[in-house]
Amino acid sequence: MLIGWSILLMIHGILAVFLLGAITHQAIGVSWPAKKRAEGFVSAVRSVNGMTYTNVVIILFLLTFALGTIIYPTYRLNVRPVLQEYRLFRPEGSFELKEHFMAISLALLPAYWYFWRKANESNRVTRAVLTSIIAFSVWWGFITGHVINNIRGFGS
Amino acid sequence: MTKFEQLFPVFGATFAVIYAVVLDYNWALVTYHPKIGVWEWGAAVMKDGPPMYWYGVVLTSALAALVLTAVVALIPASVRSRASWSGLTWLLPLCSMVFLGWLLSGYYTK
Repeated sequence: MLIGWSILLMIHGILAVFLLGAITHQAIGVSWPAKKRAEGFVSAVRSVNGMTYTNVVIILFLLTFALGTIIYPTYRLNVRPVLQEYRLFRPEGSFELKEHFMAISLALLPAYWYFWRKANESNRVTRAVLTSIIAFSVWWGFITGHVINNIRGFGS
Repeated sequence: MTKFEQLFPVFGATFAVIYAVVLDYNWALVTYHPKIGVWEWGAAVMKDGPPMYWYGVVLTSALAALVLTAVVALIPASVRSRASWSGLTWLLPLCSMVFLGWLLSGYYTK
C-alpha cells in the first residue's frame, strides 16, 4: 500500500522540480531583467520572456498541488506522529507553513495569470512580487518536503 | 479584460487575509478523519486518529473570499478602481504570510 503512495510522492516531487525551474526562471527574469541580451548563462536567465512560462507554471502548480492534497493524509497518519515522537518540531512546523503558503499561492494564481496576461512596464513590480511570492512558496515547499522525506519517506 | 478577470486580484488579496483569520480561529468548513476515512461538517473533535482541518480551512477561506469578491464586484468600477489592487494583491498576501510565520513560530522556539 505504501509503495503506491511512494510512487505518487515521487511524481509529486518530479512535478515540483519542473515547477521550481519554471517559476524561478520567470521570477529572476521579471525581477532582474536584462536590458540587452549578452552572452552567458546569467544573461540568458535574465532575458527570458516570462509570459511564455505563465500557463505552464499554473498547470504544473495545479498538478503538484492536487497530488500533494491526495498524499497529505498519509503524511498525517504515518509521518507527522514520528516527527512529534522524536520532537522534530522545526520540520513539523515547516510543513505546517508549507501547506499555508501553498494555499495562499493557489489563490494568487488567477491574479498572477491576470497580471502576466496584460504584462507591461506599469505592472512589472506587481508581477515581480507576485511571482516571487509563489516562487518562495514553491522553494519552501520543495525543501521542506525533501527534508521530511529524508526523515521518513513513505517507503520507510 | 473582462470584468470577471479584473476581480482576480481582489480574490487573491481577500483570500490571503481571510485564510489567516480562519486558520487562527479554526473555522474549518469540514474535517477529515484520515484513519477512518470520514468527512464531517465543521471543526470536529478527534475521533480515531488525528483530524485534518486544512481542507476545511481552505474551503471556508475560498467561499468567504468569493462572497467578498462578489460584493466588491457590485461596487461601481469608478469607485473600485480607486483602490490600488495591483499593490494590495501582493501586499496583503505578504502580510498574511508573515502573520502565519509568527503564528507558528512556537515550532521554532520549542
